[in-house]
Amino acid sequence: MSAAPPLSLDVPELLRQSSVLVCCGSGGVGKTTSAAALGVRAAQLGRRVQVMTIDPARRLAQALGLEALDFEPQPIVLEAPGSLSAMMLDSKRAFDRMVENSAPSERVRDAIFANQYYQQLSTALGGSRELVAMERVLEIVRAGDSDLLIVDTPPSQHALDFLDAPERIVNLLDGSITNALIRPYGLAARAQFNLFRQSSAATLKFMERLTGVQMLADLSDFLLAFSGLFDGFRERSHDVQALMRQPGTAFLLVCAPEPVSLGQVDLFHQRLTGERMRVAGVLANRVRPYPEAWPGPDQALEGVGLSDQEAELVEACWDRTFSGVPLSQRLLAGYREAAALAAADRSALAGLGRRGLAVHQVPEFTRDLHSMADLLAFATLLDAPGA
Amino acid sequence: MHAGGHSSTLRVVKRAILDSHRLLVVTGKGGVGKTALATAMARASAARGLDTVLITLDTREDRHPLLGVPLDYQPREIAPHCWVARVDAFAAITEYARRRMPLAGLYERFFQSRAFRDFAAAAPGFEELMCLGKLYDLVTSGDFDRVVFDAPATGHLKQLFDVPAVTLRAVQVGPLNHNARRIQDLLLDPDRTRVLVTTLAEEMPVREALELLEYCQRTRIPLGGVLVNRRVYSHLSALEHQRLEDLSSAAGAPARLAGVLAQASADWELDALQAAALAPLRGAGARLFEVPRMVQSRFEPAALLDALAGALTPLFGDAR
Repeated sequence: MSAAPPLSLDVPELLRQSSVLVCCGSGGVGKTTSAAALGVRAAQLGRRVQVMTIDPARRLAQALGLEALDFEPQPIVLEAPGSLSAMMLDSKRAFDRMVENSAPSERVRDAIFANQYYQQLSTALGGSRELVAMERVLEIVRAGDSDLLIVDTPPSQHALDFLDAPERIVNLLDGSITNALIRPYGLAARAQFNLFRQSSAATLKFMERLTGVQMLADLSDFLLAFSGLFDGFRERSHDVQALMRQPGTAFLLVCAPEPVSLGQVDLFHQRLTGERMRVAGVLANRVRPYPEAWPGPDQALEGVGLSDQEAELVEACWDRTFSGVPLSQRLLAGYREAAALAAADRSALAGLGRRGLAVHQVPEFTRDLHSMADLLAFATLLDAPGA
Repeated sequence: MHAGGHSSTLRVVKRAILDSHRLLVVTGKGGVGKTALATAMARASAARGLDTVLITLDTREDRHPLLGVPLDYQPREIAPHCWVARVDAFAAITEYARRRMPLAGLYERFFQSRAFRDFAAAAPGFEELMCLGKLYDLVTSGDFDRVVFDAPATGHLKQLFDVPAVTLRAVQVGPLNHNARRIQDLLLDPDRTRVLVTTLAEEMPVREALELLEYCQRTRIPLGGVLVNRRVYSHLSALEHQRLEDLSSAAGAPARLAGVLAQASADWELDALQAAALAPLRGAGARLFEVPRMVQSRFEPAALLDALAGALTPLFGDAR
């Protein structure tokens, strides 16, 4: 039984219509390379494109003709009616920038930069990378230098962190724990933290017993300094949320045709849809094609063989000192394996169609992509077959 | 020069590289099949009669993606001698607090409170330390002979394993210090712990694997070896390959034969590409253990895990 072909996703149309395209997916599915190839294709379609990647992969930078990717957008040399520039997100720098943008005064800013907790927070706090990624998206969109921003989301342990992290951090800064921490340890309580809840005090006491005090005192200092930024943070977080729900914003789920990756696609799909964000469809990378001259998806594997005449040609090449297994048998085994793998990928992807997701398939590359020529080759595969 | 062909299979390390180690940490780049290998490793270990628990960390999936069973904090038996559990930070913190403070029941409300959760999320390393503490408990409780830890991918693993050392520097006394010390001792103990780096024979995953080798060397966390997943082998000799290339370039081969020859040629090249991609790992002196690509025409997780567990069995020495 063959799997029904899934709904097909019109990638060029998506690139023409979107102003922000967010690529999501688990690690190792070719997300970064896909984002770059999408950028190339969009520029070919006449759009002014910026690609923001999280991955500092040097190979990709080189493929784009750059020595290294930089925090600021760098133009890519490309023969296309549109234009393409690329940038890399450096979490530390982006976090610094965010503090600069939100700090009410230089004194507050310097106090934050000097705090040792900040050094950790900007890299270690779960989701800080996702927070600054979204922050940077907002900054780029507001600068208005492009028609389309393609975002390669961070490879999160929790693939959905980029949605949750900004809110979690804002909640933290807004939350009762901040009050509790600042009150007993802080230099002075700020007006907006006057609300002191009993449960927080008890929690704090409990946490002291659990952990020892010093850590709390450090955290308290930090949160006190940081609290001055809070209004700016909250406002920007809301702006990011609004941007993600704007009509021009679409999410593209990037996957490979294997179960763990497809499970992530389901999680993303449910979550994004639940958040009223628009999922454009799925870009399925690494789809293994049927081997050349394979009769078709409905063909049983064992039914494919060689004619006597063909087998004779092959056996003339058999090196009996190497293997006792006739060469034609070994070749057919490899041929059928390739077909089996293609069938497995088709059946894995069929489930997406049943969930109403439009899919565009990109065949597997047997090697990493190293040059602009490779990216251009990838970009041509983004059009519908035969288009 | 092709290193491919049948010759490369002979270089596969078949020596046991794991013996009586109690904590096996399986990591690597995302997308290389880390979870499948960790799960199969737990099965292979259990098949030797060792009570083995497979641990995943804080995933949001409710079910194990390959076993299909629900994931809970309490280990669930999935096969003889084989259990699976998910350690989440919040449950680990709660359990730790209950044990540490006899009257923790009084604080039950706070465990459920937003403030408590926010705090745990805010203190860098706190959740990680609690998860590692649970891992430590599982290794040392005596309930299991072996813990197979389906650990986070490269970057997150480093963050996780750095936490005990960072804690020891930051907190000189008290229960956190004590915990971090015990965990650090376990992670650095070559008699109990081994890190297994999973990779594919491709450039980017190999690069991450090298990064992990360097990390293990620097931190002195004992490395078991590198598992190369989905290795593709050509089943031709160099002579056969050459003859077949000549045959396919001769004009007039029927379409089917041309397709078969093209596939053989592609497999030959892929084998050689993979061998070349692994060269830096061999150069770094890592013990490589190659796991062949498993072929299924329809994804059958149970059959896949059986096949992988079979392939991984030589990793283990004799059961104690």
